[in-house]
Amino acid sequence: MQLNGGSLEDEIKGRIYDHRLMKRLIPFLRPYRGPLGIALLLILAGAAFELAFPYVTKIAIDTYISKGIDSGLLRLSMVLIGILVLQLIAGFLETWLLQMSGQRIMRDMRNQLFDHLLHLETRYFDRNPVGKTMTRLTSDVDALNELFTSGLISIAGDLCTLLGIIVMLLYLNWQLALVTFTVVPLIFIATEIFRRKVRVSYRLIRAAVSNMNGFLQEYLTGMPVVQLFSQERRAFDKFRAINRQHLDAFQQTIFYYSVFYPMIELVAALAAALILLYGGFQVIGGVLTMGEMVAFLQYSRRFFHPIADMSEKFNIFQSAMAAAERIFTVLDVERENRGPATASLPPPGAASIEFKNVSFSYNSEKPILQDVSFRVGPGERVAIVGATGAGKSTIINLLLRMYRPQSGRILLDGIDIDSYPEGELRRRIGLVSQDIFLFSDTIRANVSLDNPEIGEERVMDGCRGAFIHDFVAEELPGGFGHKLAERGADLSQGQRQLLSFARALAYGHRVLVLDEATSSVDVQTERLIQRGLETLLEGRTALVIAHRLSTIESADRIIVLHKGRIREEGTEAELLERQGLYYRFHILQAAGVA
Amino acid sequence: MTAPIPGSALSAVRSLRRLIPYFGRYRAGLAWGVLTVLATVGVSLAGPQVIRFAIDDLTAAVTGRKLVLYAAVILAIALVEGILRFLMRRILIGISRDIEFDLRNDLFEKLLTLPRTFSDAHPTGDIMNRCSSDVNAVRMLLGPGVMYSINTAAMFTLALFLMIRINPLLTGLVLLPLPVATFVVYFFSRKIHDYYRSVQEYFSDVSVFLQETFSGIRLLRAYGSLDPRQTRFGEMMEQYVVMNRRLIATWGLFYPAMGLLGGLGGVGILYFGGSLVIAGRISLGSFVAFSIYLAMLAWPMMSAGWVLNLIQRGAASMERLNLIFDAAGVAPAAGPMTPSTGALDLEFRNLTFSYPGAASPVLKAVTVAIPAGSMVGIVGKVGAGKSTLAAVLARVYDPPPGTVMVGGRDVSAIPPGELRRLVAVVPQDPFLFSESIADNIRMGGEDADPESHAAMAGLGVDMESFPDRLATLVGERGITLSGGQKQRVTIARALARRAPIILFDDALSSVDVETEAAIIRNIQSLPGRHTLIVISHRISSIRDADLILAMMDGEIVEAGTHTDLIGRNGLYASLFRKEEIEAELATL
Ligand SMILES: Nc1ncnc2c1ncn2[C@@H]1O[C@H](COP(=O)(O)OP(=O)(O)OP(=O)(O)O)[C@@H](O)[C@H]1O
Ligand SMILES: Nc1ncnc2c1ncn2[C@@H]1O[C@H](COP(=O)(O)OP(=O)(O)OP(=O)(O)O)[C@@H](O)[C@H]1O
Ligand SMILES: [Mg+2]
Ligand SMILES: [Mg+2]
Repeated sequence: MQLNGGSLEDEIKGRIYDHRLMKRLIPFLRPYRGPLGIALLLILAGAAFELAFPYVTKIAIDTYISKGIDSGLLRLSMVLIGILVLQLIAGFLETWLLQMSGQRIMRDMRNQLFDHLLHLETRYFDRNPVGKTMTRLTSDVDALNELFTSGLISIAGDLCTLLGIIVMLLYLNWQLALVTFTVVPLIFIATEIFRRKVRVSYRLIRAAVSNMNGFLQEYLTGMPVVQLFSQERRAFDKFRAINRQHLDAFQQTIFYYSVFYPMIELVAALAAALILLYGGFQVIGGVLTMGEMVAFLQYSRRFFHPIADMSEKFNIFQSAMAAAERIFTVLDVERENRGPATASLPPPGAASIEFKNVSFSYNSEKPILQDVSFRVGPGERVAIVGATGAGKSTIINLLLRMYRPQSGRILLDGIDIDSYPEGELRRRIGLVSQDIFLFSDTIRANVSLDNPEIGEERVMDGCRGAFIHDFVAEELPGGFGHKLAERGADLSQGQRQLLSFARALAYGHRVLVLDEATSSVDVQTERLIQRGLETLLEGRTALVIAHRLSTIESADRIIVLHKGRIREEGTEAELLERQGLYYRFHILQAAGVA
Repeated sequence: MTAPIPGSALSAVRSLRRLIPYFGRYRAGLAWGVLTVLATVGVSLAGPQVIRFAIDDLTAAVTGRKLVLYAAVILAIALVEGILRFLMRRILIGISRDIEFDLRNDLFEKLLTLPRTFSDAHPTGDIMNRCSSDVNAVRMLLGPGVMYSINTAAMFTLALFLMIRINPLLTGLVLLPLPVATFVVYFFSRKIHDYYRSVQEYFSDVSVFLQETFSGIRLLRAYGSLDPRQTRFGEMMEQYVVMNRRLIATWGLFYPAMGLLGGLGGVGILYFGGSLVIAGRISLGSFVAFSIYLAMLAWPMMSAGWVLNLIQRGAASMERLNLIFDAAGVAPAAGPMTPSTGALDLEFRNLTFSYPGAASPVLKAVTVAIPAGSMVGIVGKVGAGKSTLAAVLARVYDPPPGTVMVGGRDVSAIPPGELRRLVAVVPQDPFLFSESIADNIRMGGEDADPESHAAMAGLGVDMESFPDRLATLVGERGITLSGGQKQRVTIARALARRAPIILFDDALSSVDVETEAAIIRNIQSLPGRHTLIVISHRISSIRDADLILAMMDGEIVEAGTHTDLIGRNGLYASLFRKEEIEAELATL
């Protein structure tokens, strides 16, 4: 049922490779090892401060209060206040360092992801909904943040504490210590089971979040259509189903999470019972004193404290790993081949375009272009005509290297387009695409696309050439600074198209490619634009696609594309004479008008 | 220092009022949840007591039987506590997820009723952010927020109760920092609320930016404009870190400050209590017991900070959700589609319309009557107001009452849901969903036969070339189809509506003439009578219309048949002649 083969979607099953993921996460942490290390020290210091309070109280009672000495109390209180203030500072610094590092790590990660996504093959975007791609950058990265801020570092802290306590326990009484440790395998087993189960749930959650965003993105942008066709009920049901998926996945993790934590406590109780039994019998046997056993019991509680704490964090860890899997899956998608970094290229001048035996298909089954060869000489204006779906826009996509042909070569200025560095190729070709896109930004930014080379003057000139200047300057409230609604929803379709046209003119590329660039424009305006183009295009190469005869009238040559093959080629007069496809096309349109 | 504005803290909490009905829905579960929290607190206090008791007992006389018994008791208590904790989390966190589910459904249901003016003002990325991250913040308030609030309150009350029993005077001392704590809470809460809100608002901008970048990726790529985009994203991320910095600084100070206040109480006890013991006013035993309970109080103080943080964030997010909940929407029509009954006539009566916030009207005194069953062509220059006329007819934007009549009824009085079953629109900007082509066509009508409608829309030949014919999935917005194919699927979708009025808004602009002619022929031969309105830039599409309207600057400047208008030698004639020149060339 797929047009384009599978998307990268949602492999829920599959093995869990935490260490591999961790290894890939470490580089993101590395720049912040300073602050993170300090935060770890602060956590340990915090734990020590925590112990200080009862200890000082004990001294106060033992040495002063119980002996009725009043004098030292104030000093001790001061010490305590000092400790409290230190605790405040340590607490603040810890949060600050961890959270700020977390924010910076997320920033780095998002920057890297964004950079990567921008340079994926166009194909990727054919298959993956915008909302899902956004999720990688938004909530998937967020899920990782907790790992960095409250997860990893405090787990490290817990581990340190744990190590200390283990040593302490062994030192106190190694037999009892070993008895205590007998329950540790239980913890490992519980953790392993939990890890397996909960990871699957977290993968489901990440998939559900992604689906939800994908759905929302699409249905929010398509809301006018939903409403026009009274699809509210159906849309709601669909949303509900996705939302339900999300809920179910979460309810599962809540179940496991709710079971897991008490389970660790239970294991701790089991250890206490064991100590009581084993130690008790040793007490009976006179090997152990009661005091020793009591002390041991208390320390053993400390032993389980960091373990329980870690088990709390484990949830965060699993959620983060599920997110990391998705992020790295994207980072593993191969980037678009950007061409060589530099190349010795002819200086930009009037350029030539040549297709040599190009064959192409979007998916391997169905050929879209077959053995297409043509040449557009420098300064020439060539039109491509053909029925809808013939493959005209596909030719443009190939020329701009949005996709790569399966066979054949495409040359710009006699050089294979593969030899052009990415920026360079696209700097030479100006496109007015059939699919109009505008940003919810100012008119100026929409024309210049934030390119510093396109100054105000060029923006205005472009708009003048597309005959949209007066409208912008006079009708729009902010003129060229007017901020458009999403996709330019507050313009008429024709105005949107003219603005796209203005962009191509403002860029002033050597090669101009017009794909149905004036299809939504009235004939009068189109005529004006064309007249202007006569001078603007002087000496430039142009490739024009149009269904309307008036659009292609000034072409030097016409190529007729039919079902992915070039069927006719020549000047208009030649083609009419041949009485083939073009002739038919022409007569039909003429008949419609006359 | 500005005085704290009570409005902001209050309104934050007021925004949460909307959640009350949701709580109501789960009150039984919530009651159980609260009960388990209280029981857990009770048991967690009892546990250590039992151990202490056991040790005391064992110290006196250790026997094997007693050992086993106490070991069993320890396990039993742990088991009870474990079960209680399990239930507590399961119930309360579970309910928070249920409420999240309901909340999100209600949010989307509401979005479905909002008019175009809302989506014009609020970009997709912004709404998406509200639906994900803000709902999540509210969920945190509902789940852990509620759970730990109860827990904290219970611990606090219990410890306080035990302390008062031992010594009311000392308890008074402990509570001394409370007024300061109230101020601290108030101050930090407000800051957290405001900062969090601005962080969320900023992230909405990021979300909008991302949504547009990926939607427009092909354009950015074609213009080699990825680098500026990347620079801008980098700047946004930098700014986002800066925005978060204030928030982090605030709550990073908040918990330790709460801890400090709790600790100060302890220091007070140590100093004054110690003095009292020395002075012989209280016993050492009660002092020791007291300080143990005081330690119990330290945790609720810290966790109060944490909970308050969650509540403030939740409240800030709820305000953002209320933007959607409070927007005025129109309920979609319920009930099955009524089959159309013949063609309907329509009439525009002195219709003047301006877009919200615009200075001048887009349509000016448009008056025209369109008889049932006729075909009307509308032509005019770019931006003349043609699509606006279509939008107003389908109430995408509301016209002034009494200006647009369909079948003799004022459209303002027809619920949009019903109206849209009378008018099938092919929008100028084709939008398809990333579903199969057949499903897209079925949006027109559930019982439609996609094959025949597709054929009627001239998709017959293309269908053969799709890998799975009509079951072929299309990309988002129909991205994997050619321009003309997209347009024809939208036409098929509108035809599947079988509505009495069909409106084509420049719907054949990307279609070649041959296909165009075929489609027009098909539609004119549709069974039953339809009122057909065709907006077009190509005269060839509409020259046979019963009535042709030529629009300029929001006014209908000419109306009549093709021959009438040619004779009038006005706008229409000039548009026509531009095309005619072509025709002449063609027949040379
Ligand atoms: N991204 C894509 N993935 C898969 N198939 C595609 C994709 N884009 C186009 N196609 C298919 O390739 C064929 C040629 O499409 P193309 O857009 O080149 O046609 P076109 O000649 O420009 O038509 P139109 O005049 O309607 O714009 C169509 O059958 C279309 O369904
Ligand atoms: N949502 C909107 N908010 C504000 N102004 C709008 C909105 N939609 C359109 N306009 C403005 O209203 C005017 C008429 O637009 P409309 O879309 O009706 O033109 P049109 O005749 O359909 O043009 P085209 O032939 O280009 O499709 C235009 O100047 C346009 O900028
Ligand atoms: Mg095309
Ligand atoms: Mg329009």
